Amino acid sequence: MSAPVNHSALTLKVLAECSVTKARACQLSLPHSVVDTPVFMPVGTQGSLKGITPEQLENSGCQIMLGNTYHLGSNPGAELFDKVGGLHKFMGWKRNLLTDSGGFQMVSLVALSEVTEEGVRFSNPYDAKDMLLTPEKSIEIQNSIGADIIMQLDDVVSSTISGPRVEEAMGRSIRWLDRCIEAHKKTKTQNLFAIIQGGLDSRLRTICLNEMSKRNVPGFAIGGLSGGEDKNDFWKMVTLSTDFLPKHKPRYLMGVGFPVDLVVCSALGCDMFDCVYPTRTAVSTNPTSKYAIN
Amino acid sequence: MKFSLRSVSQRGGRLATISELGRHGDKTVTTPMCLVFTQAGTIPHLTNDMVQKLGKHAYPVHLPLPLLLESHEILQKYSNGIGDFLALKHHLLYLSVQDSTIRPPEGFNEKSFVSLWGRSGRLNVDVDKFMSVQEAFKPDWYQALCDSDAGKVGSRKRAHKSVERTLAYLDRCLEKHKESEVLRHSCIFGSIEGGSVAEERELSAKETAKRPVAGFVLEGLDTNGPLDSVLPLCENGKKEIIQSILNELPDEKPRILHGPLDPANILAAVELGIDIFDSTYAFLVTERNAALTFCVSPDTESMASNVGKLQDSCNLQRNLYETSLTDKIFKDDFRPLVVGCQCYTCTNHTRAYVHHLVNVGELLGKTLLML
Repeated sequence: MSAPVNHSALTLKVLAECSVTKARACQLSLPHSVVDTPVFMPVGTQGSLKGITPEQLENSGCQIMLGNTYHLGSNPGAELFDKVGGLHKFMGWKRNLLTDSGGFQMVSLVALSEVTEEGVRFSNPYDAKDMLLTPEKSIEIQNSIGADIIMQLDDVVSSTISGPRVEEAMGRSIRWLDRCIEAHKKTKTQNLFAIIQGGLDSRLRTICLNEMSKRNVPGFAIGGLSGGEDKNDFWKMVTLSTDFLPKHKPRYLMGVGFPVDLVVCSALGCDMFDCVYPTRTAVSTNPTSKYAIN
Repeated sequence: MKFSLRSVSQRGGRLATISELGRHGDKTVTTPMCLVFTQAGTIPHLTNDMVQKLGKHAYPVHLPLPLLLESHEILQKYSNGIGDFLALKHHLLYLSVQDSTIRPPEGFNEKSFVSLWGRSGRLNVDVDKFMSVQEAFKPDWYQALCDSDAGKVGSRKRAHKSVERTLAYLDRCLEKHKESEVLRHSCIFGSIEGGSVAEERELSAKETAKRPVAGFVLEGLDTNGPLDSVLPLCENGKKEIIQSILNELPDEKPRILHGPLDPANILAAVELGIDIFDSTYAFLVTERNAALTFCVSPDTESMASNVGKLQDSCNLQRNLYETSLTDKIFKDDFRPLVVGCQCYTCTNHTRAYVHHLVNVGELLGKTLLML
């Protein structure tokens, strides 16, 4: 473990804490603007939020939105982001961006992908070429995209599986976190978050929490949940994580979710959420209704 | 409605003002004028706040009836009219019989009804139903029910039928219009039919001109339908047909010509004496992921300078007015769509971003192009 270095380009100010639950209201200051938490982050997968202009999004009060590294890395590609100076400039969005690592889409969208210690190997559906996404490559693309918060490449397994694969994934995620930290070139402008894994096993989750919180990252995400598991197992893993994670750093619960889940998990101490549900529903049920749920 | 000519050119083109717009108070519009095309009640790809960015250009709105027909009962219950229902009540609303972006199939109109194609298929509309729709919708202007199916080119029999039926529909519409309290502020337009048969055209124009209509719609001139099927007005004697129609129409009433006409065709039509068009051309160009980029004033740099760089596979005619944003040449072009243009899209976004959006099929691409 290297000596602690300040890798943080954010500050978290806890404004109020609930006297009954673990909920807290905070102000998260990121390079582009302040974000009030708890916050739901809408997903603008390919550099656009389903028909809404950046101006409309700003007017709706949105302070941070997501882009997907897998999609953006393919189209328009990291090289273009280097040319233009990042996704903020490319799309004309003045506030904050968060990018995921690209790992989840590869496992969920691509039929033939293979995870090894090196990285995730897959066949690119856009051009059928063989590709390898390593922690280093993921960070490189995310550095080009330039989001205020970037995510480590983690080894994600479905929350509905059990057995040795879960432990393997958890251990690998820790090693990949270290590789991501090493590869990250823009610590002054981009915050690298760790992602806690361990499936629905409290022993594994605890190991992961222990290890990852030793790394001096600006924030933590709780990953590997919201994948169809029983809600009774789900919330237990959430509360276990928030009990352990440092209070002065933001907690991002990935892939959550439906309104009830947002309320419950805020009460459990989570600060940030994302889900494709509102944007996906808006597009599929009524083509002329383009407003995301704020 | 009052149509006041301000000047007339030698060849027949006119500049005019239309005032006394019923519920719109002191507002006036000038012609030549473009109606803003809508589909199922919305301006395609634009939410109301984006429509505001069009400024005064968004004012007169074109509502084609087919996709709205199924809302008839709802509008009857709603009772405040379609403008209110669609949050477009501050716009001048004109309801046309057909959708000028498509060509309805031939052979489906009968003596007592016209076929319109809604979301769930074909609907037969007779005068009673048609006028009931007008009373529920309460538009500012509407085109009287008409039969624009003139059959095969040169078919005199079918052309004559289209003229006869349209006049019969018009007379019955006028009767009901006169009796209607609800429509007393609305204006009714008559349609000139007759296909490509000169005598039928003249007959239609002469007879329609005798009726107390507010203006005229020139139908059946093959200006409707998908972009590539609209022939230039200078071909097939169309210019002559239009001329012969306009010769029979009074000067002091406006003339509408629907359909996706490109700038050259619009200018040709204006020169002949047409006053009102619709924006289906702009819409259909957007649908094929292109931007209108022709030069409109000396200080707007045209994208025509890129024409030479585009691949030969592009249709040369298209290059004069539009540029396809799917072209890879724009991948890293960070200039606005048209340098010097002050529209929302050009002041906020780049060719590269719009290219990316249309390339990956994002909704915002068409929004930015539509503006």
